Amino acid sequence: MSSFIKDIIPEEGRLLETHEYVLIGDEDDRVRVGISHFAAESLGDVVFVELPEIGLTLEKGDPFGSIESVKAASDLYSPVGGEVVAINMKLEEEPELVNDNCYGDGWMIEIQLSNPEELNELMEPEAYFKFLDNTQ
Amino acid sequence: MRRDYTNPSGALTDQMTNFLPHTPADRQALCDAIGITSPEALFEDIPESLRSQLTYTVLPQHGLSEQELMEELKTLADNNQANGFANFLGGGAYPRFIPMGVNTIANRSEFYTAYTPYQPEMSQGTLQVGFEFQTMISELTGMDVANAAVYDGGTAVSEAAFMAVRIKRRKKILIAKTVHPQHREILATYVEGLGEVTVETFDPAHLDQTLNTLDEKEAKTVACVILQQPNYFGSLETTQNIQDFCQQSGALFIVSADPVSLGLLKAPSDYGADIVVGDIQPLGNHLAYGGPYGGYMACKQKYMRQLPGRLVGRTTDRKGRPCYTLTLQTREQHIRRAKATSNICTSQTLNVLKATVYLALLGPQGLKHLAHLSVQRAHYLAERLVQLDGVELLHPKQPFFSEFALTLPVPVKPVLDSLNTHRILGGLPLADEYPEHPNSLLISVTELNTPEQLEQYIRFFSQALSLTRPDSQAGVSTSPALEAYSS
Amino acid sequence: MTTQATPEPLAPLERSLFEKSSPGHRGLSLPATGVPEQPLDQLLPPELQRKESAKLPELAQLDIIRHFVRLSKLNHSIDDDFYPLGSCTMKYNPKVCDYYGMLDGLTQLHPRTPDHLSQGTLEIIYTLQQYLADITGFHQVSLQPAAGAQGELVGMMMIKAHFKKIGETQRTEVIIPDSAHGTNPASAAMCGFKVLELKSAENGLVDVVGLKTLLSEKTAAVMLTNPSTLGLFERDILEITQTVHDAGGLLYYDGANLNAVMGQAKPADMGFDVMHINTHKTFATPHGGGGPGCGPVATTPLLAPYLPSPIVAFDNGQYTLHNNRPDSIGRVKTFNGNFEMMARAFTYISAYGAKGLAQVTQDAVLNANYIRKQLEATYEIPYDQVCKHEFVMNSHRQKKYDERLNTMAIAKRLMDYGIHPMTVYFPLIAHEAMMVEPTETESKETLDRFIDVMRQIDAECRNSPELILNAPHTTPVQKVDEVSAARNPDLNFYCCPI
Repeated sequence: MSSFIKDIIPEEGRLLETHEYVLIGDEDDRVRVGISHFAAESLGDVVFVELPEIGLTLEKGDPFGSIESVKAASDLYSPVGGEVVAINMKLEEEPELVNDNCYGDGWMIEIQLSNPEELNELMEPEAYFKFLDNTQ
Repeated sequence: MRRDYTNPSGALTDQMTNFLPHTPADRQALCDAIGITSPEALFEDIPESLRSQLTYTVLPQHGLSEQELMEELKTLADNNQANGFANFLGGGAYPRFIPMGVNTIANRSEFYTAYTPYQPEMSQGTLQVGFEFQTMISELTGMDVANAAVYDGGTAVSEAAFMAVRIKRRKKILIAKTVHPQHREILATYVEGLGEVTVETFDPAHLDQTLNTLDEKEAKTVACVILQQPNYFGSLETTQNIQDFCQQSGALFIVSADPVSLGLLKAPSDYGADIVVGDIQPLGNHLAYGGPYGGYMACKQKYMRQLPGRLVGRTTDRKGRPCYTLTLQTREQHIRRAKATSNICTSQTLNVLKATVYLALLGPQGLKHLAHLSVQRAHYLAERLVQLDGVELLHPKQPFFSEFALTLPVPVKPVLDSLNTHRILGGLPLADEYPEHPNSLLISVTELNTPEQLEQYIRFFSQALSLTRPDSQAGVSTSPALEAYSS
Repeated sequence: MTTQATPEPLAPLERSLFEKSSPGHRGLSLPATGVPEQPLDQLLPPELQRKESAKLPELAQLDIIRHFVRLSKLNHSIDDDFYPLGSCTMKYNPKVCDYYGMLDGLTQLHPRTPDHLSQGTLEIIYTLQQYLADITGFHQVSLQPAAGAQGELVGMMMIKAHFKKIGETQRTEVIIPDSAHGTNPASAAMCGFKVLELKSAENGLVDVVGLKTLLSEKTAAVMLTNPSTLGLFERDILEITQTVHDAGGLLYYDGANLNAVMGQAKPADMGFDVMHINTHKTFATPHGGGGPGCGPVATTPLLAPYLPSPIVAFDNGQYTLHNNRPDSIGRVKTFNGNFEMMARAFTYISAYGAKGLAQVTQDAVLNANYIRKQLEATYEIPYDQVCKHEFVMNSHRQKKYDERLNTMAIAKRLMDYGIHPMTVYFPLIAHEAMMVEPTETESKETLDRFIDVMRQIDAECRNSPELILNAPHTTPVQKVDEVSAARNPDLNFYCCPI
């Protein structure tokens, strides 16, 4: 399936096996979290994204919300630990942004990292593609 | 008398294939095509020990013909001696007039032999009925959205409570002791599986006491407060204090309401309800000894995604034609599996259809008239009965709707037995569920209780009372005198 | 917000009741109050009364009846044509079972009528309890659960109550195959159990070795469907149940596929401890467009004390409702269960008798295998062996003609031939699954027509894939926009899209 879907992940992206990505922004210890293009396309047309409240503290691997298409639903897991400092309010009205531009307007939450070291445990884009190939 | 079903007369020994189309030649042709000599070959993967020990002790060997089946059912129906009695039983199931049109429509096999409308192209009929039902329930309750529907009013109470637990992420459920006792029993059964969730019962008459025992921190652990309106005794509850408590503590206010009463009473949204539930049986559904009925659930828009059960949405097809489809299905078990909002797969669709036709036939004025009529007749009967010596309303200070509780100067059972001999089902004794009211009786009045029935009730009730009084000279048999009405 | 262009609006197939409503119309005349009236404000405090009527529709009776009759014509139904829906057992609902609805003595009985005045109804319930115990081999039956899923939940609650009673509360895990119905994990989770998924073996059956590795002193139960959702009978069922019992666990039988073994083998004899029955599948109570159901639970003497109340007993010539059962899990539904479904199932079973029910199963299995054999040259059948009442095929061969073709497109094309799609994409372990269950009530002519249609669709896939991809073409509505429906839910006529 992965061969049909062209996923172009920004170089600085780091990913989890459950297809959530982390993008490091201008501030070193503050990151954006979303799901990979591959994950969004596998789900189909996204119809709803449930996001947490600002201020929630997450450990790495904690569920922070869920994402739904017409016929599928999936929990979202945090690739890193920290505090939720922003959520993408736009997704409430336009969940399709996750399909259209998952690494841009389709981001989900911003996390203030509690342990930046955790970033090193995630996959780089190349490793993620390899992981996709192996699981298909 | 228990009949012997193991040896029915006239059994269909040689044509037992009642609704099976195959002739022996058809079966042989199928076997030939499969490449087997006999259908037995298709069961060889079942261990021989399982197949060889098949015996039946009760199930008859042979089936009955259609005529015999109908005779059999008629006999059984006739064995219900309550058939044709004047019925003053309520308590959550109400004898109400069912217009002919309701079953004319519900008996159309295009509706009742259809599958769940997962394929919208082949199910627009069922889907549109669901959408119209959702709209009607939203209108009656004043809520934004309604589902279509869950098992019954009792399970709807539990489902609403668990919605609140999920939404508020809190663990305490407060429920009034005046909510239907069986609905509270269902909640107690279901809550067993929910780990730390607790249910606390409160007396709405002393609500302030309950709330005062909760300090501010404890108040913030309350997920919801559940009230029934009118309550199990038919009385109307005051709601302001619960509304205030919910506003302060953030708990959700859940109201269980008889839909017919909403023809006349305020929509629960007007007194702060967040979720409204109830049973649609009174809307054109048979009493049927307890089911099938249906539970409606309505809520504010912001809680929509936590609403269990089926939802129909309006949309368009590729040509832009308005149409309907099941929507928000990801809440349901067939997608969410262990994480679904509920394991329910059924939506009581046929009961929903009956309720929708019923409400369409009555319209706003009809429903209001019916509610008004029930209130008037109930009050007429209550006033006549409390004139009898020693008979009192159990809750004289509370207004009631179309059902009321009386306290008698004598035990309830012999009075009810005596009414039975006059072909009257006189009411429900309250002692089983409320031992603190040993001599109390719950009486329901609807449009089916004609003015003549009311007069008869008054006459025979008064007679039974005087015969049952301890100072009575006559005395009355306290055992059900079957022979008095068996002919 | 949708990005696609809005097409010219078309008229709805049938305008809603609310659009047709106009003030002053009445659908029904009602009797007068008939007693001396009092001012309403003296009876009900004005502040509790509605100020404005609910916006229910106002139409004349004929217009209401026409509305619903027209809506009925937009439905597909068993009485209209074939429903090869795997796992759903859409069999003919015999008309004699409708006779129930004409008997006031049954339909108008209040659920709290005293037992001695309800003997006919209680006799039906009692006899059905006995029949179902006989058919399944179990000791006792409760008819209270409102539907199969609730029966399943009840069964798991009983297992939990049992382990609590005997002090084995460490048994918190339930093992469920990956081929199971979605209700199984949902029901187990609702009882607070942790669900362990058991991967099926290569042949689609229970992997006995894998099962053994999951079993432990934490195992409360294993939930199985037999035959499985692939329509395959678990040959090693006796070994499986023995293994689970040896580990101290119990076995739950999902009765969804009872039609495949009824009259041929009994779940209790296989070693199961508790099961539910879906009366709308096995015993032909109407599906109703999604309910009502009835989910009887049958069990062994070990678990019988935990069955929900009430149960009907027969003592001294009288039938009585038994409520006082101290170990019962309690009540799961108001009143006494869905009696109408019981009366219909009772009628159905009485119409067949034991020999008839055995024939039902035999014909259901014969029909499924006939279709399987006739279609195996055309469609890939991943587990191609003797099946029970249903089998699974897929669209892999058709995908080779055109990569865009899939199971959903083929299913939708069936509609153009007047046949309801089979069950698709279930069970989850079979890719692009198309699950076919013909049931015993379809004639050879109907089966042959279905086979012809499926071959025709295969030819269309090869020669004119666009025809398949754009299907259906003849249904009242086509390609419903489910994405917009879910993004902007519009659930209430008076309340604009949310």
